[in-house]
Amino acid sequence: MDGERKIFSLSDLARSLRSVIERNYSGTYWVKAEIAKLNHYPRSGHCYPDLVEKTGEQVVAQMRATLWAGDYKLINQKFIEVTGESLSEGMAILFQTSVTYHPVYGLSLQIQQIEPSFTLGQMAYEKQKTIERLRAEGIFDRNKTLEMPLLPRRLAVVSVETSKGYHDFLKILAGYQDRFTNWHKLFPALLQGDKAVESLTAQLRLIKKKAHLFDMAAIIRGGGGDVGLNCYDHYTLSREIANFPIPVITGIGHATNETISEMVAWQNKVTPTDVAYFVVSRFAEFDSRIQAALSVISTRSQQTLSSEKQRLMRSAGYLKSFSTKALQKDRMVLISLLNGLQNSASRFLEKEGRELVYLDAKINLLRPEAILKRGFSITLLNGKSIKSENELKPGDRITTRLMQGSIESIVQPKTSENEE
Amino acid sequence: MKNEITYSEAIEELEAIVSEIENEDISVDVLSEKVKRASVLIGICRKALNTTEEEVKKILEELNQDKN
Repeated sequence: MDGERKIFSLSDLARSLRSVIERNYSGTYWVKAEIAKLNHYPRSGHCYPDLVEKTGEQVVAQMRATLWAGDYKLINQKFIEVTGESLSEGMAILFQTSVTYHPVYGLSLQIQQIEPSFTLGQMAYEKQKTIERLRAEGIFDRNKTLEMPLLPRRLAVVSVETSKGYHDFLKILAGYQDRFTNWHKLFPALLQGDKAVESLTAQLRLIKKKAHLFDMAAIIRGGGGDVGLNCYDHYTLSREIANFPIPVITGIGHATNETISEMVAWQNKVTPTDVAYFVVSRFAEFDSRIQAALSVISTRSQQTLSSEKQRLMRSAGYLKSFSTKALQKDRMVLISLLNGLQNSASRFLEKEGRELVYLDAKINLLRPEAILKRGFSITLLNGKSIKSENELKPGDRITTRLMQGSIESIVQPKTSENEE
Repeated sequence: MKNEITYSEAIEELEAIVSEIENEDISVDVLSEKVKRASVLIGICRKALNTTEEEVKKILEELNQDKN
């Protein structure tokens, strides 16, 4: 029967629930959960986080919580001090809470304090798990095995125009512009906080499509404070870097523990300035190799040329002294030949001379004057010498030549001398 | 056929020449040939240090092509 049914108003029920809850959950409780959504309203400063518990991807419990502006400020400050992160989505937290029920707003957890060390431990645990996962996938060291071009001339820079780190980076490169030229393209991304993973990963994927146009990629951040760098431990981003087709160098400039992104990068230079110096030093190294080659070539050429010159000069010297000696020898031979010739010639002449003297003497002896001198005389008829009496007849006029003077005679008929 | 030599090939060849003329007895004729080659290589290497124009042009062209 309808009349026997007891009908409550909604507020009756609400009041009842409220009293049951307030009676049975009067204390405070330590609860662990994951922040599914932070729901922070900057204007009021209040937070209404959605808290969940998951088994795998399955949500097995969900509740709304309240964190009043004043509490949030204090709790978050302490939280940042310990974890280096602001309270944000995806974080596991351990918190102390009371349970309240409001007839209009329903069941809510009233967060009184949050234990940052729990989250820190959880983050470290997550980090370790991510590292292990990347190792298991065999990609943890992959980017490190890539070969960095000798000269990083074409740089893909993931940063943001307004970043101080980016400007430091540019300033150093500009300082070397007259000696070493390189070129970079900026791929702007959010560099910290909740949205950074998505933003950084998207830009890296953009570069990846054009990887053949670049020698290396650099992730550069600086001047933005050290909060919200948890993104660099994120699996998706770390994996993107580890798997990147060209070397990635990080310069995200913070002093706390090295993030996974930095671990898997080709090299972690920490500060933007050091990334720039790395680039410049590659150029300087290359330059010094050229200089070294140049200096060896020039000294070596000079050495070779001068030793060659010396050799030539030595050869010329040899040739000179050798030929002088040879000439000297020849000259000596010539001289001795000449001497010999002279000697034999003079000997010959001497001999000839003696012969001549003898001949001369001989000739002298045969001269008519010489014969006349010895008392002989020559009888001439008409200027011709007479050698026989038969050439004469009586009455001939003959001339007898003596050594001194001559006699004229007339031939007489022959007396009979034989008769005597 | 590509006659262009990359700067990394150039520096390698250059250093090979250097070690050759540093460690071996080389006649003047050969030396002058090597030095000639070395100076070409040094030119290529030096160019790599301070020129990017052509490459940048190529990059920009390719990046712009995608936008269309």
